[in-house]
Amino acid sequence: MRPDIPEILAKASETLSAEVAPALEGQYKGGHAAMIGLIGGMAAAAFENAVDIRLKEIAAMRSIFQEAESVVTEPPLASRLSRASVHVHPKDHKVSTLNEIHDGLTTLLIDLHAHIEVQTSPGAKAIDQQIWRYLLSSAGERMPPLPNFEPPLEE
Amino acid sequence: MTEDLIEDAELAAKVEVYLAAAMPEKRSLKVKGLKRIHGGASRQTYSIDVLSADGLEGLILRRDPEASLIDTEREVEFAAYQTVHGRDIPVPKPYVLEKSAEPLGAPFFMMERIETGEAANPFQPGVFGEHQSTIGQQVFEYLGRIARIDPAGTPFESVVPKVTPKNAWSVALDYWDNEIQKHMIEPQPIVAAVIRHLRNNPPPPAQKLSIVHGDFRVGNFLHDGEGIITAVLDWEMAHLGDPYEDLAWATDPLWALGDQENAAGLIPWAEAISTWEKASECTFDKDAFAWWSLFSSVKGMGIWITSQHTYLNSANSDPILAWSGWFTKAAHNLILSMRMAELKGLSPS
Repeated sequence: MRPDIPEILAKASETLSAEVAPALEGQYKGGHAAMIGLIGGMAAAAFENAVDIRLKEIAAMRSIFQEAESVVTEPPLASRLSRASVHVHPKDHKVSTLNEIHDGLTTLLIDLHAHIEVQTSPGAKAIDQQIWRYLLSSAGERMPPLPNFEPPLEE
Repeated sequence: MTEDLIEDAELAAKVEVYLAAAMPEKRSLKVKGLKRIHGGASRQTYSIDVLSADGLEGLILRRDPEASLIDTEREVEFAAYQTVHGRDIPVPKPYVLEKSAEPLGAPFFMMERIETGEAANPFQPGVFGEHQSTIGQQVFEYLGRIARIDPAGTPFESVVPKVTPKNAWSVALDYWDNEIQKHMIEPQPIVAAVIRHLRNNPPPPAQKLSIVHGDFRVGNFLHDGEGIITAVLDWEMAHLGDPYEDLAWATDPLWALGDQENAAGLIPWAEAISTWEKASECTFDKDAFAWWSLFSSVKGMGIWITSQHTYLNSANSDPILAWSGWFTKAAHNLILSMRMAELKGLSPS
């Protein structure tokens, strides 16, 4: 689709922030317009990376599960890891489809993390560190840039 | 005072009837202005001009919305103002609390309008300019004064849940853990891991029980632009607890915008702690504070996850809820993962 959706969103958000919000200055809804302008700008940036981030995180979690299989001492959890670590092509690449897959894997990651972090073996410690590296990287990738608050935004 | 302007004539008429009955000493009372203002997403906030035989005065009306950023009891906020007012901490004088929805469509309270000052945007770097240091000193002075108040026998103590020095940490952690579980719309692996860590490594018992403001930070106090804090507002999350809780929340890395040298991004850490210790008559224990500091970022996640849920699942479409549920949640996820990576000895790369 041309023009790209991020371009449209960014432009529309700029209009809200730079033209609409100042015209409503002092009014309650003026604050809303400024805030929606900021959110629109964030959405523009997030749209571009949405599929890429999710596919990379899904792959990273599956890789952790594969390595953790031999370290996990609970058979039911090991079995879940074994099933989840197999790469399956998603039925489509819609963000909603990827979110569903991502949520399922993240739930398993939480269970794995809770299990592994109380183990004392070097293998368990290595998986714990690998999970934290993944979580740190994911949080960094998903952090929107701090918007430029000029003029000051009404709290 | 605002100019004569009534944005909602129906509400203004109801306010006028209510005030005439609630404040009979104010003869010939008329509402001359009523305007909705930004006062956080947890209450609908209105600025009201009232003219009576005594002259013109300003009131603030805080009314419960259909759904709010945080589920709070208006009695608690009102009792906090009642308790703190007149104790060398600038807060508005509370006037009336109405628990019934009948007069104005939802429970509400009214208080004095502070005529001088505005709230700063916590996400605007250097927002206090040349007055940053002066503001910082007052922030830690007032945090300390709040912690110093003996809650025993106050109106506040009578309306908040009881805690003990021993369980203050677990009550606070249970509360936010529950809010996160109840409201998250996707699995949260980072905060889940941090909560497990906090439970497995509890802090020492609180050195005393104090009134905890609950949300004392840049953005929730008014300043006059000349370096004076004119009002500490937004007491809706107030409760009894460990005095470190407020200190930790005010200095959460989120509000410092990357400035690690200055507490809350305002004044050097040593000066902030020293000011707080003197004003609170508490001692500062680095290890105990470290627990509460990490807890603060969990609490932040609880607030932002709740706001995200509220925005998506209720009639409250205030975009601050969407912003909180996205930007600030992402920020606290990153902060928590960085702090845990440090604890685990991982490099940030």
